[in-house]
Parts: sequence; structure tokens; C-alpha cells
Amino acid sequence: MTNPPVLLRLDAVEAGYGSLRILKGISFEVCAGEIVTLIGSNGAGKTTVLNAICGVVPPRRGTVTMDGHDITRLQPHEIASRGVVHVPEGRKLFPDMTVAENLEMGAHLRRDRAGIRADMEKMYNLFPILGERRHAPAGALSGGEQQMCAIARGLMARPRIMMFDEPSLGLAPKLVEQIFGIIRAINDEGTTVLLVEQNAHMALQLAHRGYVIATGEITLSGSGSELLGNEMVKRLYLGEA
Amino acid sequence: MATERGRQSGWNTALWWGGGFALFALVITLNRDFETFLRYLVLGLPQGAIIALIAVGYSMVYGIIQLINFAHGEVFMFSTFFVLMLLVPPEGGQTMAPALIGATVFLIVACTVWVLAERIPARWMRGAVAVAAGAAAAAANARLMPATGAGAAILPFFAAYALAIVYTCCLGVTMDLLAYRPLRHSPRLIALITAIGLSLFLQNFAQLIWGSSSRYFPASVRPAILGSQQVTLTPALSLSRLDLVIVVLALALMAGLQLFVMKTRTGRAMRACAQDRVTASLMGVEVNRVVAVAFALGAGLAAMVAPLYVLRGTPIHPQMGYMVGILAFSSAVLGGIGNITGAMLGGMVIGIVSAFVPLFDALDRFAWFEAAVRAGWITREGYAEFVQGFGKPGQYQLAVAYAFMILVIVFKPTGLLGKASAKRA
Ligand SMILES: Nc1ncnc2c1ncn2[C@@H]1O[C@H](COP(=O)(O)OP(=O)(O)OP(=O)(O)O)[C@@H](O)[C@H]1O
Ligand SMILES: [Mg+2]
Repeated sequence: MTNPPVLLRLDAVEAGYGSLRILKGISFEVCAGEIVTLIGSNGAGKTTVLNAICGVVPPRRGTVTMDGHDITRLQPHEIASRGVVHVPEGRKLFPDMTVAENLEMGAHLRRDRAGIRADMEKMYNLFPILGERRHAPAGALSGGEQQMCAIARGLMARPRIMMFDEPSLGLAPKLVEQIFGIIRAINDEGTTVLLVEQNAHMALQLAHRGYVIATGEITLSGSGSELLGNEMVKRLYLGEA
Repeated sequence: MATERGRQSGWNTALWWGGGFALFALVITLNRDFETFLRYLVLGLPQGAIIALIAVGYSMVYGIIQLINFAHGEVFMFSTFFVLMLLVPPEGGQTMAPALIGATVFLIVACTVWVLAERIPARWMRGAVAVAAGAAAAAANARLMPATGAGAAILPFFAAYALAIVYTCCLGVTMDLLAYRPLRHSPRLIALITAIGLSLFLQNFAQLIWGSSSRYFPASVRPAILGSQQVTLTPALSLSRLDLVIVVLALALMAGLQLFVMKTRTGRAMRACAQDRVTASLMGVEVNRVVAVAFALGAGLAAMVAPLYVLRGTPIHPQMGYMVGILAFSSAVLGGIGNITGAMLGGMVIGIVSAFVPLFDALDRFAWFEAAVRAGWITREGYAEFVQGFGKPGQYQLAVAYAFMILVIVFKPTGLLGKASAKRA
């Protein structure tokens, strides 16, 4: 079996805040069509990795390549225009805009009005609650509804790779399962996924491959099932003896 | 729900204040006649419309980058000088004027083209295009300005007006590019001090070019439609053509701005940036461009009303933007800084409130004044002395306007339509 082409590659990426050096040379890759998960404890640097990819925290050293093109020094809006879409930690909706306007913001870079309209209807079918509340300000949604809105907003961009930062945070188990189901469905439709999760168990079950990050470095990598069976992962991230 | 309720309470407060004020004005005027009330209201409308459109410039920029652009008043001032320079030859002593004006036009056009030409990837090529555009604009401008001593204007009034609006938009964009953009990630205080410095710089620069004396548009260039002939609305109620134009134009501009912000793609991006700039950039919004649009729009709106403001009888001089600017800024705060509708409302309220102040010189003509005299509470002599002693209280329009503003802010610190900055969860 031939490997699918690498879509996103990080090569010895270093990044941080001010004088703080958080990422100490991160390298990994995400192939087209894969679900790759990044797990690690609080403060390990997972969010920082995603922010380095999308240009919010520009890398100091190393390179980020998307589809063979160097995107390390690009601005966030330029990176977004290459199909890298980030569903950020804490949803980050535009609270005073309606649900519909949030979705339109997701499609900001697209110019095909008819396509946007059709995709919005698609989102309302995928997440009926968003359809019901399309004219409500996003700030008035519940946490779970906000997460759905954030995912739908990301999908509106028709991403090539979609990065999720802790989509299950603060949600009831039932809702978490629903969100994971949606992520799988998104992937089945051909979108590559990079998933950051605290819920390592579910993430590793879902993902094709995973990386473990600790204090700004990749310490372990392997297929989802390999990592699920790994002693260290079991001890540190799955809470098993 | 929190947001819906917040928005509603904003409107409620605005209605309360508006209603309360209308009642107050009615009570003191109805004793005489309703038409007096309308007359003062009509006096306040053009003033308020002008302040409102300037106030929008403060609020729009503040909403996106949380910067109080103190130089906005100077942008207003420059726009009147732009019109003046296209219509009137420089005065005798201003030998430097043509060169400095040329340099200014070059700089603002070059910077604006630089910002617009982002599609050109190579920096040197983008720079070359910008420099070429700036040079062409400066050369063209030199031919459009009337020469010293020669006299007659080359452009008709409305062409000069339109060109000045374009220049002013460019000035707004340039200001952002050169002064504020480099400080986007610095502490807010640094940008604020820069804004104050820029305001002083622009005042002095205008003085260097055009001198410090007060100027007026010569009567010869004033178009008839902007004349001071009265337009009769009802037998007792009339206003000048100019004021009518101001009110109609301002209403159209406010409606247009509201449509732009609520309905267009750029307007939506602007609102997104105002709520969360980083997330907006993740959606592919180029934040710097949106900020540039806000500066250009704010400057353009100020430039639309500036010549009309001057035609109402205010002299043109380098400090003219200062007073107007503070008043407009305060109106933006009154309406809720960062809220565009609020800025419009605040400006209108301030304009109308100050228009009613001259009534205080004429209290003795009210029916209830007579009653109070008969009851022995006041005497006509005492009131006359009071009016004289205060040098006519009706002149204290600004003082009353600010007092009103402070009163509102005390009871609603976020302004009429503002709401407490919500935590971004
Ligand atoms: N804006 C910031 N300024 C300074 N330090 C930061 C900032 N954001 C994160 N850090 C620091 O960087 C380190 C990594 O943070 P990061 O948010 O990437 O962790 P994380 O793996 O996403 O954690 P969590 O699971 O809690 O979300 C932490 O030590 C954190 O304190
Ligand atoms: Mg995180």
C-alpha cells in the first residue's frame, strides 16, 4: 500500500511567548485524509503547536509546510486561505453576531454565494439546533451548541485540513460522543483532521495516528492502537495503573 | 440571552434619556409655544448631525483596535484645508505652501496605494507603484491648485469637495500605516500617547503650511444650494438651505453606514474584528486592511461634513479640529464608545442639547416666569443681573453639553448604547 501524500509537515518548530520558549523543536506530519491526534497534559504546548501552524504564534525556528509550500512566515489570514482551518480552544465565536453571521464569517474567503448558501443549509441539517437558533446571537448559545457552531463555522471554509483544539472540553459525555462522531464524518468526507485532546482515550480510538507531546517536545508517536496499548501512555494519559 | 437583554437595556436607557429630555424641553417651551421648541430643535439638528458623523470616526476605530485616535479632529481640520487649497490661492507669506502640499499629497497617496496594492507580492514593485502613484498625484494636484496671486479657482466647489474627501481618506489610511500600525502590539498607552503626539504634529504642520490666521471660504466659491437662504417648512419654522443639506446628507450617510456595517462582507469582517481580532484573522480576515478601511471611512465621513461645517460660519484654522474633536469624542463616549449607532445618537443628542441652551437667556419671556415673579420668588431685575453677570448663560453651550454628558456617564458608565465589555469566553 502506498502512503498518501503528506499534507502538513512541521520540521523542528520552535515557538513561544515573549522570552518563554515553549515549543522546543516539534516535528510531525499529517498525511492527506488522516486523523492525527496530539495528546499531552495541561501546559504541554498543544495549543501552542496549533497556534504556530495557523500563524497566531509565529514560529521562531523551523518550518511549517502545507502541501509542499512553506507557510512558516505567512500571516494567519494567508494561512487560512490555504485551507488550514482552526477551531480554536474555547470556541471563540463572535458572541454578538448571530449564528448565521458566524457561519458566514467562516466562509469569509469564499466568493461563491450560492455555494455558501447551500453549505449553510447543510450545516443546519447537520446541526439542527443551529438551524433553529440561526438568528440568535452566538453568545446566547449553550457550551455544546457553541462548540457545534464553531465546528460548523470551520466547515464553512471548506477546509483541506481542520484543526480542533479540545472540542470536548466541558461537554457532557453524550455530547462528546456526538462531536467525535461528527469529526469522523468530516474525515470520511475527505477532510484531513488534526485533533488536540485531553480525552486521550477517545482521541486515540478515533485517530489513525497520534503523537504525545510533553513540555514542548514530541516524546512518542505511533498508530492510535499502538499508543492505546503503550505502557507509558496508559500510565500518564489514560489514567490506568 | 445575556446579549439580547444587554442590547435591549441599551435601547431602553437611550429611550429613557431621550424621552426625559424631550419632556424637559417640552415643559419649558410649551409654556410659550410649541413652535419655539421646534425652532430650537431644528437649530440643533445640523449641529448634531455634524458632531455625530465625526464621532463615528472615533468609535469605529476604537471598536476595532481600542485606540482613541486623538488626531481625528485634525483629520477633520485638514479636510477643510484641502478644500481651501484647491479653491483659494495661498496667501502672501506662504511661500512654502506649494512644496509642503506637494509632499503631503505625495505621501498620503503613496501610502494609500501601498496599502491597497497588497496583491503585488514583491515589495520593491509594490513600493515603486506606490511612489509612482504618489508622484503622479502630487503633480496633478499642483496643476489643480490656483497659483499665488492669479486668483480664480480651477476646480468648481463640488469637485474640490470630492477631491478633498479622497485626500482625507488617504490621510486617515496614512496615519494608521505610519503611526499606529507599528504599535499594534504595544501597550495601549503607547498608542494613545502617539495619537496625542500625532494630533499636535498635524496642528503644527497645518500651521506651517497655511499659517495660523483664520480663513473663510470666499463667498464667490459658495454654491447656491449651500446658501444661507431660508427654506420655509411651516410658516413659523424655517432653516437655511445649507442646514437642510447637512441634515439630509447626514441622515443618508448614517443610513448608508449602518447598511455597510450590517450587510456587507467588509462590514461584517469589521464587526468580527471588533469582537475578536485574532479569531477574525483565522477566518481569513486581513485585520490590517479592515483597520485601514475603518480609518478611511472615519476620515471620509469627517471630510463630508467639514466644508459644510465651515460654511455655517466657523473660521478655518489649524486649531479648529481640536474643539470639534473633543466634542465629537465625548459624544462617542456618551453613545458608548465602540458602538457606531451610539456615536451617531450621542452626537445628535449633544447637538440638540446645546441648541436648547440659549433658551436660558430668555426665561423671562415664559408664562411661568411671570407667575414666579408674582409669587415673589424671583424679580425681573435679579434675573437680568444674573444673565448679565454670567455674560449670558446661553453662551455656555459647551459647558451644558459636557455637564449633560457627565450626568449620563455617572448613571450609565458605558454610555447610552454601550455595554460592559463582555469577557470573551
Ligand atoms: N499567551 C501566553 N503567554 C505566555 N505563556 C503562555 C501563553 N499561552 C500559553 N502559555 C504557556 O505555554 C505553555 C503551553 O501552553 P499551551 O496552551 O500550549 O498548553 P496546552 O498543551 O494547550 O494545555 P491545555 O491542555 O491546558 O490547553 C504553558 O506553560 C502556558 O503557561
Ligand atoms: Mg490548550
